[in-house]
Amino acid sequence: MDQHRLERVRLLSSRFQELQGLRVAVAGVAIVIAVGAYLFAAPAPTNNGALIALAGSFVLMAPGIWWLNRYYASAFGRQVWKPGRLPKLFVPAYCVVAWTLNAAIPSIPAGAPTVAVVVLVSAWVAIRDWPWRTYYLAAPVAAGMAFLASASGGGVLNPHLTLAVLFLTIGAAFVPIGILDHMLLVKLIHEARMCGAAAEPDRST
Amino acid sequence: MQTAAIRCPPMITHLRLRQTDSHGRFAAQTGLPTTNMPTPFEHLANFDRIVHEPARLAILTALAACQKADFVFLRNITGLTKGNLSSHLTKLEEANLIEIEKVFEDKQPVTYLSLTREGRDVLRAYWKRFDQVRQDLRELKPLRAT
Repeated sequence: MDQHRLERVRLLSSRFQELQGLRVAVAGVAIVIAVGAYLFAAPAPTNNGALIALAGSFVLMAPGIWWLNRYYASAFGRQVWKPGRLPKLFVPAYCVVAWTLNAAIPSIPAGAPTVAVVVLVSAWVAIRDWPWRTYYLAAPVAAGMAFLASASGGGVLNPHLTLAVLFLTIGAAFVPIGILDHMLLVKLIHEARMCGAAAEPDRST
Repeated sequence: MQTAAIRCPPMITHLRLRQTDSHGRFAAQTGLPTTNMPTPFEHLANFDRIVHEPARLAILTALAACQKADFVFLRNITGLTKGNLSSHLTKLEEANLIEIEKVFEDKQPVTYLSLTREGRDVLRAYWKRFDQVRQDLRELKPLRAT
C-alpha cells in the first residue's frame, strides 16, 4: 500500500466526524435565519437580544442535524470518535474563562468570548489540516470584517449591533465551510473506493 | 536463533557487506562480524504478515484513529469489497487484533469493529519497526562499481 493511500485512510478516520460538513452548513443557515430575523424585526437590537436569537437558532438546527446524522450513518457508515484529554478539558475551561471575563470586564458583551473561540478554533483547524481545509479561514476573515464594520472596531455600525453582526457573518461563513467539508469527505471516500477497486488484494493472502 | 544468512536469498545477504560503520567503512573492510547485525531486509522478513498485508494495515490504521467503526465505514474508506473485507476481518479477529460486536441501532443490525489492546500494541510495534527499517535503509550506502 502506498503511503498516500494509508495517509488518506488515517485522515478520513481521524476527521470523519468533522468532515460531515452539512451539519455545519445547516447550523450556519439556522444562525443566519434566527439572527437575521431578529435584526430585521427588532425595533432596537441589542447584544443580549442577539444572544437570545442565537439560542433560538439551536431549535431551528436540531431537526436538521438529527436528520443529517442519520443520512451520514447510512451513506458513509458509523464511527464512534474517541475524544482526547484536551477536548474534554476544553469546554469546562472555556466556561470558566468566559464567565471570569464577563464578570471582570463588564464592557465585554456576553457572547464575545464565544465568537473569539469560534474564530480561534477555525483558524486552528485551517492550520492543522493545511492545505486540505484552508477554507476554514473564512470564519476568522468574516468575523474580522464584521468587527471592523462595527463601532467597537472603528466602523459605522451601532455598537449594540456588534454581536448580532458577528453572529450573522460567522453563520454565513459556516455555510460554504460546511459544504466544502462535505465535498472533501465525498472526494476522499471516492478516491478511497477507486484505489481499493484498483488494488483489490487477493483474499487468500 | 536462525541467522538471516540462512533465511534470506543470496541476493539480499550479499548486501550485508555494503553496510557501513560510523566512519563510512564497509563491514567487510573493518573486519567486524556481519552476522550479528540485522539488515533492513532481515527486519522486513520479520514483519508480522498479519499486519503487513496492505488491506489489513489500512483496516488497523482506520480503527486506530477511533474508538470503534462499523462495517460500512471500513468498506468505504478502504475501498474493499464486502467479501474481501469480511475475510480480512476474520483473520484479524482470529489473531485477536480486533473485536467484532453486533448490535441493533434503530432496528437495524450494525457490526462494530474495534482494536483490542493487543491490536494497538502490535500496530504500535509494527510502525516502530517500520521506522527502524526506513532509518536503516537511509544508512545503507550503494556499492561502488570497481
